[in-house]
Amino acid sequence: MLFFSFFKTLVDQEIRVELKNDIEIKGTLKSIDQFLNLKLDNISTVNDETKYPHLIAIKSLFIRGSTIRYIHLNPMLVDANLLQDASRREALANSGNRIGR
Amino acid sequence: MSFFGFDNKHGSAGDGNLETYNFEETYDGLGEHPEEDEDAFNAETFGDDIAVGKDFDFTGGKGDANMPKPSAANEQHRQKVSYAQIAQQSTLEEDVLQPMASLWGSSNKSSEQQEQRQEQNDPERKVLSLEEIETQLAQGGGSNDNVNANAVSLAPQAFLPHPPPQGTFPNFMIPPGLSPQQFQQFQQQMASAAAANGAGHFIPPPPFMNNAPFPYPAPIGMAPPQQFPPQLQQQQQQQQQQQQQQQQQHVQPEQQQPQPQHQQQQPQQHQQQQQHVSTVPNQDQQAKKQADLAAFPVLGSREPEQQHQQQQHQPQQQHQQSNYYLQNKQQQQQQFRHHNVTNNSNFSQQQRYHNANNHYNYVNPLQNPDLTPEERERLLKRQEKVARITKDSGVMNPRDKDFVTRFQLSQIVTDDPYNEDFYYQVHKVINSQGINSNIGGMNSIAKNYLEHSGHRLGGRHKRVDVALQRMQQQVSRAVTVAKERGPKQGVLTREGALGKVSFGTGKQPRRQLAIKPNERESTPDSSNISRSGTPTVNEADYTSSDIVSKDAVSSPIPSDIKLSKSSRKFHLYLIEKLYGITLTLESMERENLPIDNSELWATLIVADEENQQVNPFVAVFNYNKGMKLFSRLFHFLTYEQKMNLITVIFSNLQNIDVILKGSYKNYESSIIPEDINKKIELFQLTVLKTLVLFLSEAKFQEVLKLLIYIISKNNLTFLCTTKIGLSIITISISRLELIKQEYNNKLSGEDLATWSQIYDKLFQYIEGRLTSIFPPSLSSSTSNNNSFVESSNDEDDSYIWQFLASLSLAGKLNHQRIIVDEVRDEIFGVQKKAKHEMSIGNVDKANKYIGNLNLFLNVMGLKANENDITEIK
Repeated sequence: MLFFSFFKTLVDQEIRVELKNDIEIKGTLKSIDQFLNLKLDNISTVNDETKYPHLIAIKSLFIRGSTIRYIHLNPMLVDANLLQDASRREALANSGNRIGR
Repeated sequence: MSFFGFDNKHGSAGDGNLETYNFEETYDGLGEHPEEDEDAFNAETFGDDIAVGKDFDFTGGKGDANMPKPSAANEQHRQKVSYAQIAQQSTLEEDVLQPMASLWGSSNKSSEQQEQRQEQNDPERKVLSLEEIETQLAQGGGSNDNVNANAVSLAPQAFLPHPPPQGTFPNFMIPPGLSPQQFQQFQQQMASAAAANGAGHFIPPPPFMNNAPFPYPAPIGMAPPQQFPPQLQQQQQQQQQQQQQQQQQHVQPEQQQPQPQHQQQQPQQHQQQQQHVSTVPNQDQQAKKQADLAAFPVLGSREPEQQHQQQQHQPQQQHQQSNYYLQNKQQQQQQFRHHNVTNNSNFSQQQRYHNANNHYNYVNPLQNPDLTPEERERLLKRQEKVARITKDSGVMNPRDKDFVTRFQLSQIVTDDPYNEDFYYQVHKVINSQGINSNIGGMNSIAKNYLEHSGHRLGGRHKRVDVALQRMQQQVSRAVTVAKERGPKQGVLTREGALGKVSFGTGKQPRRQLAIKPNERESTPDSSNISRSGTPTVNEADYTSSDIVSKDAVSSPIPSDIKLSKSSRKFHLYLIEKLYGITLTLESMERENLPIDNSELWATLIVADEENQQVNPFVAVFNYNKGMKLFSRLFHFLTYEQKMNLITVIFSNLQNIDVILKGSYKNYESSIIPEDINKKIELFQLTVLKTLVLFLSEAKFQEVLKLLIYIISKNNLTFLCTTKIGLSIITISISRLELIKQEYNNKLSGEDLATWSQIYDKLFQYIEGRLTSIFPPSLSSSTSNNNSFVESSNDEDDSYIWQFLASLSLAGKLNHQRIIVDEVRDEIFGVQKKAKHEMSIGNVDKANKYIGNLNLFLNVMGLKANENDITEIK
């Protein structure tokens, strides 16, 4: 849930998605689910446009999470300290020590 | 496209008065559908001696004798498929059947209705909610035609060749033990009851319902749109309500057969009726007629026929398509319906059927001769677009969507957002300027889900708050479901199986590796082995005295791993342990639970042992994350604990990384490396800031005590060559002096005597070495030869002047004199530098130099500019 939680904070921000088939797409993240499937808006390909002409006319996309290789983020959008804490919590929760309650 | 076997040459010559279709206009891509697996029947159906062409006539060549006859024209086959024959016989059979048709309402009308309905393929309006239906019912006679459209009747099916097969489509059944008449009565009762009860509340079903349960559960796909009152959440209630609704819409004539409900088409009828009054001359009359039959079935409705067709099971898909073209002619259609046993046995076919009809109807307005070519073009484009958009609309009804939503939600939601959705929750709080709403969890999930999914519950006519409310219900229900489901084990290990089956859950998508966490502890034998076999720590790192075991330290350290207290690994363990405790405490604080910091303190105290060369706790500051932790951890300590901790820190100042490595004397070039500088900066921002805050509220004696610790336990000369060391001393001195000046009369003479004693001692240490506090990179005296070190320009020497200021503030006149004597060169150097900067136009920089210098000089009542030093008047 950590990444799901994290990416939820990036909704409405621009991200760059690199797929496993080497297509790179830039777009506004509209929605994400626990499988890290993405919905992108206002997309454009970062690669040479002529390489993937079928993407030229497309405005929004749904991307299956498992096909994503990388997601490039704007570092300014990431709260690294908070992310560290969240990771620690996740690790603690997984080791059985629920925090609180 | 010639798979129907039309001889298009003949067809196009057939009847000049009829509008003919251009292939380009009518082709709707049916041929592109992938599943053409039933083409094998083409030959059987149409014969294999058919000429294949492209530009055939879609009028169907009405009454055209040249129409090719199916080669396999046996009786049964003809009944099933031979639309051509049907077309031929249409006139004849129409007469025969007319009485019947009029009895059930106008066949023309029904055909009109269907056309209109298909035209109005607005997905949003496809379904009416129960409330809407009931409102219409309640409105009585004035809108009875609506009722007719909605409370769908079913056509008599006595003339069907055979009853529709059951089970291909889960059907609504008359409850056993109820005769059709009884049933009809009951339905009317139900309908009127529903009409009386317009608010859409649940009407208890008659007793027999309980005794005779539904033979088939109502499938989701055909369930009516549900606007349940929230209290109706029980499964059984839902089912009963479905029954009830279906019954309302099932106001049926006597010859009932089990009928599937395909309600998605129903509401449109109503609209269409309203909108097409002018175009259909027959309409008003028909509407009136139907109004009279208010509570009665509209038997002429096209609906039942469609349902009938759906229900039939006939694999030959081509007939569906022939169906499409045949609807061109209503009379033909009428015949066709009676004879047609061609059908869509499943949903997708049904969908396609509708699409075909849609397209057909969209083309229709184009036949209007008044249209200009541009208009026609535009209309055509628009229709194509609409057809494309609505292609798959209505596949899911609102209940389906609710179901999917609930299912998705139950994977995502949590009743404990701070544990499982920590980053998002806290991020949101931080970014919304600290509105810490723990309660917001569930509502915000619902809201966000609605916002981000673009999910509109109940269509465009529902208000947003209603949707939100419903969503919240969904969320809370989903939470319950998720709770009941309990924690899922991600891995299933079957006895005797070689491998493990791992499941992905929403919260833990499938893992690549499943590591058993407690393997070591569970098997004592192996624990011995691993104990002896874990030289995880460099042997040279520890002596026997500083080996600690897990029990004494912190639980994240596995029991069999022994670490030297001075090892890096131990420090990291310690930091993580402290982080864990701190996070726990923070979440307790957030939930307003009583805070118990004993564990935290115990962990800290572990580090506090006298016999250590380097106190382990101080080693925490060697790591960036340790520094960041400090202020958060410090917050949870009691005052005494804080005091103790600071004592430890001050006694070990010279062992802190940023001080140990932060002196220019450590480096040959006298320049502190960049990474150390960064650490120093971080230390200032985190630890030092916390210390300053604490000291600014500490009492005189306490600060004094701390200063004594600094002086007695550290190498003061070394400390003074570091930025952090100097800053800490500065803070202590100025705090003491501040208290002394403010509360002079309240301080005991003893304290004051001690303070001046300590000051003398401190001064003794520093006297004669004051120039050493200036790192060469900052020193101005060395740059007399006018070649300024450029890199030094960026550095801030204010901390040095602040130290000198506080030192002279606390000192007497003779102290000040000594200080000024020692740093005279620096003072003049700064003035020189400022002058130089001024001359090259860097006024800001010059002012900064002078300003820093004045920090010191002002204490003694002096003031400098770049040229000379004057007394403050």
